Amino acid sequence: MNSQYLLRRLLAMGVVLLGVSLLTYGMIFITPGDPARTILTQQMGGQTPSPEAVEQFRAANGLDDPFPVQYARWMGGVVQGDFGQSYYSDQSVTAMIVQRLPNTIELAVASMLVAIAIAVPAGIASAVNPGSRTDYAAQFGALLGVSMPNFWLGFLLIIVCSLWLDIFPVAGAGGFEYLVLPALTLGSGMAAVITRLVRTAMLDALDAAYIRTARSKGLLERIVVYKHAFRNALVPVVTVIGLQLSYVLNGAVVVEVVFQRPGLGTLLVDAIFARDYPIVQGVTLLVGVIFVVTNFAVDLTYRRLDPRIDHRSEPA
Amino acid sequence: MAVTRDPTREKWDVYNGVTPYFTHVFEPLVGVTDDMQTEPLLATDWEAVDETTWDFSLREDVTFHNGEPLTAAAVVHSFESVFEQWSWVPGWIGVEPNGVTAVDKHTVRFQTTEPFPAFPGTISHNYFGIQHPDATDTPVGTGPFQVSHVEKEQSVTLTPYEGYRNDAERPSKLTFKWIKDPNTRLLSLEKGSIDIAQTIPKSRASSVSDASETAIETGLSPSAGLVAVNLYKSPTDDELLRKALNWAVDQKQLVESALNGIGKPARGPISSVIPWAVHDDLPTYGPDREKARELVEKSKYDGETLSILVNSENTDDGTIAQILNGWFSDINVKSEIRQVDPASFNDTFTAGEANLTLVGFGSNSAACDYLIRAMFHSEGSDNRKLHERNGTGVYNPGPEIDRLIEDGYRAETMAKKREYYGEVQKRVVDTGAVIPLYYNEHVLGRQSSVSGIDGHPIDKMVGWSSLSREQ
Repeated sequence: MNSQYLLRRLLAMGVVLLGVSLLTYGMIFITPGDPARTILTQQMGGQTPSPEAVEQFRAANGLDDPFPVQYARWMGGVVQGDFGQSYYSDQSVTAMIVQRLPNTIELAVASMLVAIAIAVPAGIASAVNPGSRTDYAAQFGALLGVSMPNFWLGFLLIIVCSLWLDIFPVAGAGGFEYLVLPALTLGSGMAAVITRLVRTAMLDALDAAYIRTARSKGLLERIVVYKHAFRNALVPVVTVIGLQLSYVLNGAVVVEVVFQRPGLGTLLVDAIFARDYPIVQGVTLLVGVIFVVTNFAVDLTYRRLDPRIDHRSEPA
Repeated sequence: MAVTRDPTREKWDVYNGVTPYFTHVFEPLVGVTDDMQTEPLLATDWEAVDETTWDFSLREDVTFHNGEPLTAAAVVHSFESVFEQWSWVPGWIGVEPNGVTAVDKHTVRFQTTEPFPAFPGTISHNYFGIQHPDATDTPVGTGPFQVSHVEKEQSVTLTPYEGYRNDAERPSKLTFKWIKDPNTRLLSLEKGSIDIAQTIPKSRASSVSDASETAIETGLSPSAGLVAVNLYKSPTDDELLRKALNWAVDQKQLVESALNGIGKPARGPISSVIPWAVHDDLPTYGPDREKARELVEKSKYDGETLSILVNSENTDDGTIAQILNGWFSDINVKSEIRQVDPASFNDTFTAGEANLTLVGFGSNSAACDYLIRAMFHSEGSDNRKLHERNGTGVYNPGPEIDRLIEDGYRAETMAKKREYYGEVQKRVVDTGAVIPLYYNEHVLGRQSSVSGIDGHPIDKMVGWSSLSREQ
């Protein structure tokens, strides 16, 4: 990998993020719904604001300006590191994101660990013994995991683990005990996708010529499977794990609401329904950054896992 | 106590929205009685010096949570802080710029922009709880409880303020925990991890009240659910058709089936808990579907499909719309339901896009005048857009109603106000500008072992001072 490649990627990332911001700002701008009225109604505890109050709110927040002016004003702040103030609470968007981000990261990491802990052994066991009961069980589990909606599984886990067994709290954030059920809910869905992928990748790898060579050298099956086949099967798996980040962020919205975790998901949903533009923009841009950085990291990981992939050979 | 919105979301120095609600950390100058009248709270009394000047005398035995006495200067500072932060607030309560001044140590003067007899009721809203000038990150009010701990974006914990003027026994600790999702709130109540759950879905209320460990508390609130009928869009511009729709609706059955029996069948657009509601004097309709069908026959209705607009956030409204759809079909009127998200709902409604819109209106203060203005005055928030654009509105019946609303707004006695606003209610019901549905009851879920919830028509004003739990 050379510096030219890095520079090209960084420039492309900048363009993508600019596009994301323009698109989301444009979309929320043309979505019906007046932020002034929506936010005032919330602030007044559901009471209907007067038209005069709505007009004053719009003027105070520059909501009467045309789209290019509002977008340019927002972008002007962003390049100086200022993401603006929430219309609703008048707090800094950056501060609100910083407060919420750790909860979402915690949930994302824990879910990913749950997913990997389930998917890798299940996928390998399934591939090593194709057509066996283990294989069918793993595939059935994967199908179940993909089909089950997060909110449904979340409530099921609350009813069983919190109400019946009384092991975990129903909802909230804080210690480890608050993380288990949300991570299981979110992680099991991801595990399903990753299990199927590990299985396919391992079947391909186990069928390769170098595996036959390894076996013919008399290597232990454990070493053949884990050291030779699994390492090569990792390339597509890493890609999907990277892409599953989108699943984590989507799923976090539902899981955070069900388990009452104050994270980015709930912040974004509340902001969209309230038409709190600065928060919607701030969170969307952050999610965009996470996506492009993850994709970049996945690209870099390829090369570590498979030195045959050489970025210098990419077309300019 | 589980609440539906994050009680820590707002800044405490200049509060807004939910922060001062529910917790009773702050108190306004004016309180609201159980029958929605104003009563002294931090002010002992008030008087109109002239048409636009009000003097409020403060209690002299009140201290802030930091031990300092309540003074007129602190009250002025508190209002100015809110005005500075939220530029639209002076317009809302009709106060002149710099219109709040201290006359002496215990008298505060308010200058209003125009004669405003309902001014004391308007500032009984929890929004105008008085905060100490030094309040920054830590709230300092005068209420029976003071804030002892804030868990950011999760909960607020209160303890009794020992210097409170009333030294009656209070719970030693109160925690307001944010649980947004109604199902999670219910499951937390069932598990016993919370004592009280705010806003139990009506559809689930019977399961809470039937269980031996839990119970519900309900209270008739100053809000009503109704159908706003578009007077300026075909085919609901036909009065005979509007009356037919009214004859088709059975409010009693609606409350029983859609609201699980929680609510009062409505005869008008204003909840009967509001002092100037004229529920008992309003003209009544059916249900009589035979008569409704006859009216449809006599009307100009030609089979066009009516649109019913529903806010997707209100699950009860979705169910009600389906029931209405069935009843209208019974009288040979076609209708279709259109659900939109909460933020788009008002724009769609005030643009007059639907024939029928399910709306709910309520007040969080003793001054409910704005309700009738918002709904039926041409300059009210529901009609203004179309009235300015093309001289119509949505369901404002015309200039005569405007005049009655303006007279009621200026009326200085409740009897006069009732007379003017009562006439408005009669006319809008009589012309079918609305289809009244129900007067809303708010619902709290509680553990059976918990007692002493001090009910109030306004759910934000339900009191916690006498709460206790059996051990």
